[in-house]
Parts: sequence; structure tokens; C-alpha cells
Amino acid sequence: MKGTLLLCFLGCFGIALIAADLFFSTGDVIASKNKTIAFSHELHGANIGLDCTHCHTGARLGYKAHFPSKQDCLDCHRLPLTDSAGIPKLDSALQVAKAMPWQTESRVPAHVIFHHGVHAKANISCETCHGSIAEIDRGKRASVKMGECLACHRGETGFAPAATDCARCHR
Amino acid sequence: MDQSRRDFLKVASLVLGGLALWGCRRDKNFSPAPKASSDISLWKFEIKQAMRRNIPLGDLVPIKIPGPLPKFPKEINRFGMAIDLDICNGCGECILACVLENNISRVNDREAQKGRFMHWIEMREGVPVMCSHCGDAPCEKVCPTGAAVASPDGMSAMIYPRCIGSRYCGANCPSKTRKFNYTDARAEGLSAKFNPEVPLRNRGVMEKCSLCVQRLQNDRLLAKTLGKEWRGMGVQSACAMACPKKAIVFGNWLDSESPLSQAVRGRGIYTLKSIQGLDPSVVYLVGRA
Repeated sequence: MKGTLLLCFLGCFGIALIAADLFFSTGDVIASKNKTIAFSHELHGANIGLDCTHCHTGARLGYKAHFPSKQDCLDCHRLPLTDSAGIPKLDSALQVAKAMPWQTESRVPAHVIFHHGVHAKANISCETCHGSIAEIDRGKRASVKMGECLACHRGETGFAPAATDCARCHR
Repeated sequence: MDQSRRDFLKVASLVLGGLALWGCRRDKNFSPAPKASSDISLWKFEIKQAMRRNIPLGDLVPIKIPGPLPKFPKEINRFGMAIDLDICNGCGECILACVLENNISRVNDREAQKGRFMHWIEMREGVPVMCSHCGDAPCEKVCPTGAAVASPDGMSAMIYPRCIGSRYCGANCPSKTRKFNYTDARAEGLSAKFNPEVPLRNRGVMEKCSLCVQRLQNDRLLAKTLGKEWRGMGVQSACAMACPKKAIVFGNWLDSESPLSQAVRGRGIYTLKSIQGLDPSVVYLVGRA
């Protein structure tokens, strides 16, 4: 009797925890929220050789790396670039797409600052945090954990040590 | 009755426990969150209310000009402020600017009656008093979690997510310029995000003047991205910018070209008597030296 009760209670608690986790967790994958246009980083980045900052403006010098607008896509895609069968499909998708097809909320909490420009200046590539192009296409997002920030800032991962004073990144 | 005493107690305690848990639920019908207002006149009213209190200033005593911090001898920056009491007329514009820059929340009526306002700048006998960012800060020594911590740039920083609200720092601060969030301002609709750069603080967290750390951080990151040496030239705190008489000067104590170093040249540098031995970075200017 006692054991069953305890099990029941623990079970309910566990289910509540899992439900809360599912309910409150932010999506790991950008694409799952927004399936208007399928974008292949591999096709644009690895094959054509576009730099990340070409679409994610601000990643080289700014605080934030932005997402491209529909107009940014159309700057290149106004003309059919290839004879691929996918082009008419893309054209129709772009016509109905919102002005900002990709929107994502930063995972960096409000009391932390992460400046992309400073990290780019220190020769840290996008891949260091965001993963390889294949991983990004699979929906990986850069993890935001203070331990991982500090490992680099203390110089434990091969980069030059950087500031570890609280007030340099926290406000 | 074939129910034993043991079974009865079991069922009764389960029911009571369940009810207690149910009572702890979050129900919007019971406590509807008041609508948050960002009407600045509400803050202006509160500032007037706060300025009506008669808080004694205490004596001002002369000190030496702040130099490099003994904790960080190699640093080239130590930020601070000087408030010229020959010019300041205690109008309180700096308090409003500080509130809007740092998203300082209002307090509820109960706390207001006790005079526990959150304003980081307090008028004491017409003199604006804020955290002095002591080089030898007593608040940092007693923080059990390291939330109050010295920054190499001369600020006495406050890392809000680390704060567990022990209030030791507030008790150990001789100038009593630390403010504790007794009010759950977000739940009571008393906070507003005027400045997206600064996070809102939670209930149970100590806060104080940050020397507008967000402005320093932004300027530092920009300078570092462009590969320039950073001395904080051009950065001003919100209160210094808002002062209609330009009585507050923000700058770098270790930079002889900083407006701060130029403003204090030949002037009498004073601080509150209670913190005279603690190497404050925020000082008062009175008369000629």
C-alpha cells in the first residue's frame, strides 16, 4: 500500500516535470517553427561559397547576427539562377513568404551580452559555437551555457584567454 | 466500521496534502495581474514622494583623488563620477534619468510608506547620493554567493542572477545605497522596460547604481571589435547626461584627458564620512582645493 502510494506520487511528479519541460522549453530547431521556405546552408555556403555574414549581417562587426529578409533572398533569386526544377517552386514560395521569413528568439538571456563582432575579431569561426554546416542544416543551435563560455575564456580550448570578470558579460 | 485508524489517517492526510497542493496552484482568477503601465508620470510622482523624505546626509570629508585600484594594479581604466555640489541644486532630474535608463521599478504602497524606494539615486538634504563604487568595498566582502563583485574597470558590479537576497551587502554598506526588491514589481505591474538593454530584476534581489555598466560594456565591445584601445572616452552615465546644470561628470580616473580628471583639477574632493576610508570612485566636489 505504502509503496504503491509513493510510486503513484512519484509518477505524477515525474509526468508533471516532463510536461513542464515540454511546455516551457524553447525549440531546439529553428526550422520546425518555420517551414515556409526550406533553406539549405550546404547549398549556399559549402557549394556556392557564400560567407555566413552575407545573409547573417552583423556577425562580423555587430552585436547580433541577423536573419535575412525576403528581400535579401530576392536580391539573388530575382532571376532564375539555374535550370533546376526546384526554381519555380522556390519562386512561388518566395512570393507568399512573409517579409521576414525567419524569426528566432535569442537563447542568450537578457542579463548576458554576447557580441558577435568581438568574437569574430578574435578569429573565432562561426562553426566553433554554431557547429558545421551539416549540423546547422539539421537544426542545431549554438548552446548557451556559462560553463562553455568560461572554458574558452579561461583558455582551456586552445583559444587565447579572454576576460573572466563577471561585469564584462553580465549586466 | 471496518476502517482502521491507520487507514483513516492515511486517507485523511492524503486528502489534506492534495488540498494543500491545490491551494498552491497559480490561478489568475484569484490574483489578476494588474496591468503594467509605462506612464512616466507615475515614476515622476514616486520620485517626488521619495524626495520629500528627510534623509540626513551626514558629514562630508575631504579625500585624496582616486587612483589605480590596489586589487587591479595593471588596469588602465577606473570609472567614476564627480558631483559638483557648488552647481547642483537637487532638482532630481538625475533620479528620473536613472530610472528610465535602468528600468527601475516602482514599489507598492506598503513599501512606499516605509520609504523603501528602489531609486538608485537618493536625495539626502538636496545632495544626490548613489553607490560610491568603493575600491575597498565592504559589500563585496560579505556576499555569500559572489553576486557583489569588484570589476577591474572600477565598478562594484552586481550580478543579479547570483543574488540570493541575503541582504548582507545592504547591511554592511556604510552609505546605505543598496536597494532590495521587497516588491514583486513584475507581478504587481509596477515595472516597465524603458530601456531594452537592461534586464528587469526579480523580487528578492539586491540592486544599486551600476555606473551605467551597459553603456561601458557597449562602448568597450565596439572599441575591441574595431581593435582600438579602450579608455571609455565619450561614455556618460544617464544621470550625468540628464543633469540640467551639468553638475555630474562621468569619466575615467586614470585617464588625464578624461572630462572627470579635468573637472576635479584644483577642486576640493569630498565623500561621505561613513565611507571615507574605502576609496570611493564616486565623489563630491566642493570649492577649491
